[in-house]
Amino acid sequence: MMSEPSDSPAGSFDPRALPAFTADAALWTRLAAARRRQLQRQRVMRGGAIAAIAVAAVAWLGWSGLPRQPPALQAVHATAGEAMRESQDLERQWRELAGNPGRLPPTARLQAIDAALQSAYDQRAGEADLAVLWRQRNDALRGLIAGAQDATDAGPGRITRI
Amino acid sequence: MDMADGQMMAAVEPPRSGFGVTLERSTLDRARRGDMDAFATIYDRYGGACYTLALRVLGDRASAEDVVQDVFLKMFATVRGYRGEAPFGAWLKRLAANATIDVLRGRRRFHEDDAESLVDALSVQADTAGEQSDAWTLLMRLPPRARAVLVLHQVEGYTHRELAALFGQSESWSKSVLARALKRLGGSDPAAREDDDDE
Repeated sequence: MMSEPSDSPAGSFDPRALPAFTADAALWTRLAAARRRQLQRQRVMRGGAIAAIAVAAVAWLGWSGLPRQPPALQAVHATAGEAMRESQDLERQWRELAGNPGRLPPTARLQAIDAALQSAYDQRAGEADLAVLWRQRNDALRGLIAGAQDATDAGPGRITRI
Repeated sequence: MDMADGQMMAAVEPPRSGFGVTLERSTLDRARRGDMDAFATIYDRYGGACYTLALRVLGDRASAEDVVQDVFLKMFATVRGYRGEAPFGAWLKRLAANATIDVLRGRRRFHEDDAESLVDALSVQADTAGEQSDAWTLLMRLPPRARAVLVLHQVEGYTHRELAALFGQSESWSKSVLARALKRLGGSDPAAREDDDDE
Protein backbone atom coordinates (compact mmCIF):
# COMPACT_ATOMS: atom_id res chain seq x y z
CA MET A 1 0.00 0.00 0.00
CA MET A 2 1.49 3.31 -1.04
CA SER A 3 0.31 6.33 0.81
CA GLU A 4 2.47 9.03 -0.65
CA PRO A 5 3.18 8.81 -4.36
CA SER A 6 6.37 10.51 -5.42
CA ASP A 7 6.80 13.36 -7.80
CA SER A 8 8.96 11.26 -10.08
CA PRO A 9 8.00 11.23 -13.69
CA ALA A 10 6.81 7.87 -14.96
CA GLY A 11 9.63 5.45 -15.48
CA SER A 12 12.22 7.71 -13.84
CA PHE A 13 13.81 6.71 -10.53
CA ASP A 14 14.58 9.43 -8.01
CA PRO A 15 16.08 8.06 -4.77
CA ARG A 16 15.16 11.29 -2.97
CA ALA A 17 11.52 10.42 -3.51
CA LEU A 18 11.75 7.13 -1.65
CA PRO A 19 9.39 7.09 1.32
CA ALA A 20 10.63 6.83 4.90
CA PHE A 21 9.04 4.35 7.28
CA THR A 22 8.39 3.90 10.95
CA ALA A 23 8.45 0.48 12.53
CA ASP A 24 5.58 -1.07 14.42
CA ALA A 25 5.10 0.69 17.76
CA ALA A 26 5.38 -2.67 19.55
CA LEU A 27 8.92 -3.16 18.28
CA TRP A 28 10.44 -1.12 21.11
CA THR A 29 8.54 -3.22 23.66
CA ARG A 30 9.94 -6.39 22.11
CA LEU A 31 13.38 -4.84 21.95
CA ALA A 32 13.32 -3.81 25.60
CA ALA A 33 12.20 -7.33 26.58
CA ALA A 34 15.00 -8.82 24.48
CA ARG A 35 17.45 -6.46 26.19
CA ARG A 36 16.29 -7.68 29.61
CA ARG A 37 16.80 -11.30 28.50
CA GLN A 38 20.23 -10.33 27.15
CA LEU A 39 21.20 -8.84 30.54
CA GLN A 40 19.81 -11.86 32.39
CA ARG A 41 21.92 -14.21 30.24
CA GLN A 42 25.00 -12.07 30.90
CA ARG A 43 24.34 -12.16 34.65
CA VAL A 44 23.91 -15.94 34.61
CA MET A 45 27.12 -16.35 32.62
CA ARG A 46 29.00 -14.01 34.96
CA GLY A 47 27.58 -15.85 37.98
CA GLY A 48 28.57 -19.19 36.49
CA ALA A 49 32.09 -17.96 35.89
CA ILE A 50 32.37 -16.62 39.44
CA ALA A 51 30.98 -19.85 40.88
CA ALA A 52 33.41 -21.88 38.78
CA ILE A 53 36.33 -19.76 39.99
CA ALA A 54 35.12 -20.08 43.58
CA VAL A 55 34.77 -23.85 43.29
CA ALA A 56 38.23 -24.10 41.74
CA ALA A 57 39.71 -21.94 44.51
CA VAL A 58 38.03 -23.99 47.22
CA ALA A 59 39.13 -27.22 45.58
CA TRP A 60 42.69 -25.94 45.46
CA LEU A 61 42.53 -24.92 49.11
CA GLY A 62 41.07 -28.32 49.91
CA TRP A 63 43.98 -30.10 48.32
CA SER A 64 46.62 -27.91 49.84
CA GLY A 65 44.96 -27.35 53.22
CA LEU A 66 44.25 -29.22 56.42
CA PRO A 67 44.46 -33.00 57.03
CA ARG A 68 42.06 -34.99 54.94
CA GLN A 69 39.42 -37.39 56.15
CA PRO A 70 39.12 -40.98 54.99
CA PRO A 71 36.51 -41.38 52.23
CA ALA A 72 34.26 -43.38 54.52
CA LEU A 73 33.61 -40.29 56.62
CA GLN A 74 32.68 -38.09 53.69
CA ALA A 75 28.92 -37.99 53.41
CA VAL A 76 27.36 -37.66 50.02
CA HIS A 77 24.53 -35.15 49.94
CA ALA A 78 21.84 -34.84 47.40
CA THR A 79 21.00 -31.22 48.09
CA ALA A 80 22.58 -28.01 49.27
CA GLY A 81 20.00 -27.90 52.09
CA GLU A 82 21.15 -31.22 53.55
CA ALA A 83 24.79 -30.20 53.23
CA MET A 84 24.01 -26.89 54.92
CA ARG A 85 22.27 -28.61 57.85
CA GLU A 86 25.22 -30.97 58.25
CA SER A 87 27.51 -27.97 58.16
CA GLN A 88 25.62 -26.43 61.07
CA ASP A 89 25.92 -29.68 63.06
CA LEU A 90 29.63 -29.93 62.33
CA GLU A 91 30.16 -26.33 63.36
CA ARG A 92 28.37 -27.04 66.68
CA GLN A 93 30.60 -30.08 67.26
CA TRP A 94 33.69 -28.04 66.58
CA ARG A 95 32.59 -25.35 69.06
CA GLU A 96 31.94 -27.97 71.75
CA LEU A 97 35.34 -29.57 71.22
CA ALA A 98 37.05 -26.25 71.28
CA GLY A 99 35.19 -25.35 74.46
CA ASN A 100 34.04 -22.10 72.92
CA PRO A 101 30.29 -21.77 72.38
CA GLY A 102 30.59 -18.32 70.85
CA ARG A 103 32.24 -17.15 67.70
CA LEU A 104 35.25 -19.25 66.74
CA PRO A 105 38.38 -17.81 65.27
CA PRO A 106 38.11 -18.08 61.47
CA THR A 107 40.51 -20.12 59.45
CA ALA A 108 41.75 -19.16 56.00
CA ARG A 109 40.07 -22.11 54.39
CA LEU A 110 36.72 -21.54 56.07
CA GLN A 111 36.88 -17.86 55.23
CA ALA A 112 37.50 -18.65 51.57
CA ILE A 113 34.64 -21.12 51.48
CA ASP A 114 32.25 -18.77 53.25
CA ALA A 115 33.17 -15.99 50.80
CA ALA A 116 32.59 -18.33 47.90
CA LEU A 117 29.24 -19.38 49.35
CA GLN A 118 28.19 -15.77 49.83
CA SER A 119 29.17 -15.00 46.25
CA ALA A 120 27.30 -18.05 44.98
CA TYR A 121 24.12 -17.03 46.82
CA ASP A 122 24.49 -13.44 45.58
CA GLN A 123 24.76 -14.74 42.03
CA ARG A 124 21.80 -17.06 42.53
CA ALA A 125 23.94 -20.09 41.78
CA GLY A 126 22.24 -23.41 41.21
CA GLU A 127 21.60 -26.14 43.78
CA ALA A 128 24.49 -28.26 42.53
CA ASP A 129 27.02 -25.43 42.80
CA LEU A 130 25.84 -24.56 46.31
CA ALA A 131 25.94 -28.21 47.39
CA VAL A 132 29.56 -28.48 46.24
CA LEU A 133 30.51 -25.46 48.32
CA TRP A 134 28.63 -26.67 51.39
CA ARG A 135 30.37 -30.04 51.09
CA GLN A 136 33.70 -28.27 50.89
CA ARG A 137 32.78 -26.39 54.05
CA ASN A 138 31.84 -29.64 55.76
CA ASP A 139 35.17 -31.19 54.80
CA ALA A 140 36.97 -28.20 56.24
CA LEU A 141 34.98 -28.42 59.47
CA ARG A 142 35.72 -32.16 59.75
CA GLY A 143 39.37 -31.32 59.43
CA LEU A 144 39.09 -28.75 62.20
CA ILE A 145 37.17 -31.19 64.41
CA ALA A 146 39.82 -33.87 63.87
CA GLY A 147 42.51 -31.36 64.75
CA ALA A 148 40.62 -30.31 67.88
CA GLN A 149 40.17 -33.94 68.93
CA ASP A 150 43.90 -34.56 68.49
CA ALA A 151 44.67 -31.52 70.58
CA THR A 152 42.22 -32.62 73.31
CA ASP A 153 43.77 -36.09 73.39
CA ALA A 154 47.25 -34.62 73.63
CA GLY A 155 46.36 -32.58 76.69
CA PRO A 156 45.12 -29.12 77.72
CA GLY A 157 46.54 -26.06 76.05
CA ARG A 158 47.00 -27.59 72.61
CA ILE A 159 43.52 -26.62 71.50
CA THR A 160 44.52 -22.99 71.21
CA ARG A 161 46.59 -23.97 68.18
CA ILE A 162 43.49 -24.41 66.02
CA MET B 1 6.41 -6.85 -2.45
CA ASP B 2 5.13 -6.66 1.07
CA MET B 3 4.68 -3.13 2.27
CA ALA B 4 4.50 -1.67 5.73
CA ASP B 5 0.75 -1.14 5.71
CA GLY B 6 -0.24 2.15 7.19
CA GLN B 7 3.22 2.86 8.55
CA MET B 8 4.56 5.08 5.86
CA MET B 9 5.43 8.66 6.55
CA ALA B 10 5.36 11.39 3.98
CA ALA B 11 8.86 12.03 2.72
CA VAL B 12 8.97 13.84 -0.55
CA GLU B 13 11.88 16.10 0.32
CA PRO B 14 13.47 14.51 3.36
CA PRO B 15 17.07 14.62 4.43
CA ARG B 16 18.81 11.80 2.62
CA SER B 17 18.97 9.60 5.65
CA GLY B 18 17.71 9.72 9.22
CA PHE B 19 21.14 8.62 10.42
CA GLY B 20 22.33 12.24 10.13
CA VAL B 21 20.47 13.21 13.30
CA THR B 22 22.82 14.11 16.14
CA LEU B 23 22.87 12.54 19.59
CA GLU B 24 23.61 14.47 22.76
CA ARG B 25 26.75 13.54 24.61
CA SER B 26 24.79 13.10 27.84
CA THR B 27 22.45 10.55 26.24
CA LEU B 28 25.40 8.64 24.87
CA ASP B 29 27.11 8.64 28.27
CA ARG B 30 23.95 7.33 29.92
CA ALA B 31 23.63 4.62 27.26
CA ARG B 32 27.23 3.59 27.97
CA ARG B 33 26.21 3.09 31.59
CA GLY B 34 23.35 0.86 30.45
CA ASP B 35 20.55 3.37 31.09
CA MET B 36 17.41 1.97 29.44
CA ASP B 37 15.84 5.44 29.06
CA ALA B 38 18.88 6.51 27.04
CA PHE B 39 18.46 3.46 24.81
CA ALA B 40 14.82 4.41 24.33
CA THR B 41 15.89 7.91 23.26
CA ILE B 42 18.38 6.45 20.80
CA TYR B 43 15.71 4.16 19.43
CA ASP B 44 13.28 7.07 19.03
CA ARG B 45 15.92 8.96 17.12
CA TYR B 46 17.40 6.27 14.89
CA GLY B 47 14.94 3.38 14.92
CA GLY B 48 13.07 4.76 11.92
CA ALA B 49 16.25 5.23 9.91
CA CYS B 50 17.36 1.66 10.61
CA TYR B 51 13.94 0.32 9.73
CA THR B 52 13.75 2.38 6.55
CA LEU B 53 17.18 1.24 5.36
CA ALA B 54 16.38 -2.40 6.01
CA LEU B 55 12.92 -2.21 4.47
CA ARG B 56 14.19 -0.47 1.35
CA VAL B 57 16.71 -3.23 0.79
CA LEU B 58 14.83 -6.29 2.03
CA GLY B 59 11.37 -5.26 0.93
CA ASP B 60 9.41 -6.90 3.72
CA ARG B 61 8.43 -5.55 7.08
CA ALA B 62 9.13 -8.63 9.22
CA SER B 63 12.72 -8.95 8.01
CA ALA B 64 13.26 -5.21 8.47
CA GLU B 65 12.01 -5.41 12.06
CA ASP B 66 14.34 -8.33 12.70
CA VAL B 67 17.22 -6.22 11.44
CA VAL B 68 16.25 -3.33 13.72
CA GLN B 69 16.12 -5.69 16.67
CA ASP B 70 19.52 -7.19 15.84
CA VAL B 71 21.07 -3.77 15.35
CA PHE B 72 19.81 -2.31 18.59
CA LEU B 73 20.65 -5.37 20.66
CA LYS B 74 24.15 -5.22 19.22
CA MET B 75 24.29 -1.50 19.93
CA PHE B 76 23.18 -2.05 23.54
CA ALA B 77 25.95 -4.60 23.98
CA THR B 78 28.73 -2.64 22.26
CA VAL B 79 28.00 1.04 22.85
CA ARG B 80 30.62 1.13 25.60
CA GLY B 81 33.21 0.42 22.93
CA TYR B 82 32.00 3.23 20.67
CA ARG B 83 34.80 5.77 20.80
CA GLY B 84 33.09 8.63 19.04
CA GLU B 85 35.54 8.81 16.15
CA ALA B 86 32.64 8.82 13.68
CA PRO B 87 29.23 10.39 14.37
CA PHE B 88 26.98 8.05 16.30
CA GLY B 89 24.48 7.90 13.45
CA ALA B 90 27.19 6.82 11.02
CA TRP B 91 28.31 4.10 13.41
CA LEU B 92 24.75 2.87 13.79
CA LYS B 93 24.19 3.04 10.04
CA ARG B 94 27.16 0.74 9.54
CA LEU B 95 25.66 -1.73 12.01
CA ALA B 96 22.33 -1.53 10.16
CA ALA B 97 23.89 -1.96 6.72
CA ASN B 98 25.94 -4.93 7.88
CA ALA B 99 22.92 -6.58 9.51
CA THR B 100 20.85 -6.02 6.38
CA ILE B 101 23.50 -7.49 4.10
CA ASP B 102 23.80 -10.43 6.49
CA VAL B 103 20.10 -11.14 5.94
CA LEU B 104 20.64 -11.05 2.18
CA ARG B 105 23.59 -13.41 2.55
CA GLY B 106 21.43 -15.74 4.60
CA ARG B 107 18.85 -15.88 1.85
CA ARG B 108 21.48 -16.95 -0.67
CA ARG B 109 19.19 -16.06 -3.51
CA PHE B 110 21.78 -14.01 -5.31
CA HIS B 111 24.42 -16.42 -6.41
CA GLU B 112 24.42 -14.49 -9.67
CA ASP B 113 27.37 -12.39 -8.60
CA ASP B 114 28.20 -10.88 -11.93
CA ALA B 115 26.54 -7.53 -12.36
CA GLU B 116 24.92 -8.34 -15.67
CA SER B 117 22.94 -11.36 -14.57
CA LEU B 118 22.09 -9.65 -11.29
CA VAL B 119 20.31 -6.73 -12.92
CA ASP B 120 18.97 -8.86 -15.75
CA ALA B 121 17.01 -10.65 -13.07
CA LEU B 122 14.71 -7.63 -13.01
CA SER B 123 11.04 -8.35 -13.27
CA VAL B 124 9.61 -8.21 -16.77
CA GLN B 125 7.06 -5.76 -15.44
CA ALA B 126 9.77 -3.21 -14.89
CA ASP B 127 9.82 -2.24 -18.53
CA THR B 128 6.08 -1.93 -18.82
CA ALA B 129 5.13 -0.26 -15.58
CA GLY B 130 3.57 2.98 -16.52
CA GLU B 131 0.83 3.40 -13.99
CA GLN B 132 2.88 2.57 -10.89
CA SER B 133 6.19 4.20 -11.54
CA ASP B 134 6.84 5.87 -8.19
CA ALA B 135 10.26 5.49 -6.63
CA TRP B 136 9.27 2.75 -4.18
CA THR B 137 7.59 0.59 -6.81
CA LEU B 138 10.53 0.98 -9.12
CA LEU B 139 12.99 0.13 -6.36
CA MET B 140 11.07 -3.00 -5.44
CA ARG B 141 11.41 -4.26 -8.97
CA LEU B 142 15.15 -4.61 -8.55
CA PRO B 143 16.66 -7.79 -7.14
CA PRO B 144 17.51 -7.33 -3.43
CA ARG B 145 21.25 -7.13 -3.94
CA ALA B 146 20.96 -4.48 -6.64
CA ARG B 147 18.55 -2.64 -4.36
CA ALA B 148 21.11 -2.77 -1.59
CA VAL B 149 23.83 -1.30 -3.81
CA LEU B 150 21.51 1.42 -5.05
CA VAL B 151 20.13 2.39 -1.63
CA LEU B 152 23.46 2.32 0.14
CA HIS B 153 25.18 4.35 -2.57
CA GLN B 154 22.48 6.77 -3.63
CA VAL B 155 20.76 7.34 -0.31
CA GLU B 156 23.15 6.38 2.46
CA GLY B 157 26.29 7.72 0.83
CA TYR B 158 28.39 4.58 0.70
CA THR B 159 31.34 4.72 -1.69
CA HIS B 160 31.97 1.97 -4.20
CA ARG B 161 35.02 1.01 -2.22
CA GLU B 162 32.89 0.54 0.88
CA LEU B 163 30.26 -1.36 -1.08
CA ALA B 164 32.92 -3.61 -2.57
CA ALA B 165 34.18 -4.43 0.92
CA LEU B 166 30.65 -4.95 2.22
CA PHE B 167 29.73 -7.39 -0.52
CA GLY B 168 33.14 -9.01 -0.93
CA GLN B 169 33.29 -7.87 -4.54
CA SER B 170 35.36 -5.46 -6.61
CA GLU B 171 34.67 -1.75 -6.97
CA SER B 172 33.96 -2.25 -10.64
CA TRP B 173 31.28 -4.80 -9.70
CA SER B 174 29.61 -2.22 -7.47
CA LYS B 175 29.81 0.48 -10.15
CA SER B 176 28.45 -1.85 -12.76
CA VAL B 177 25.51 -3.01 -10.62
CA LEU B 178 24.61 0.57 -9.80
CA ALA B 179 24.88 1.82 -13.37
CA ARG B 180 22.77 -1.02 -14.73
CA ALA B 181 20.17 -0.70 -11.98
CA LEU B 182 19.80 3.02 -12.54
CA LYS B 183 19.66 2.58 -16.27
CA ARG B 184 16.90 0.03 -15.88
CA LEU B 185 14.98 2.32 -13.58
CA GLY B 186 15.49 5.35 -15.79
CA GLY B 187 17.38 7.18 -13.04
CA SER B 188 20.25 9.60 -13.30
CA ASP B 189 23.72 8.60 -14.39
CA PRO B 190 25.77 7.82 -11.30
CA ALA B 191 28.99 8.84 -13.04
CA ALA B 192 29.32 11.95 -10.91
CA ARG B 193 29.17 9.99 -7.65
CA GLU B 194 31.60 7.43 -9.02
CA ASP B 195 34.03 10.22 -9.70
CA ASP B 196 33.58 11.37 -6.12
CA ASP B 197 34.36 7.89 -4.90
CA ASP B 198 37.61 7.78 -6.74
CA GLU B 199 38.97 10.84 -5.02
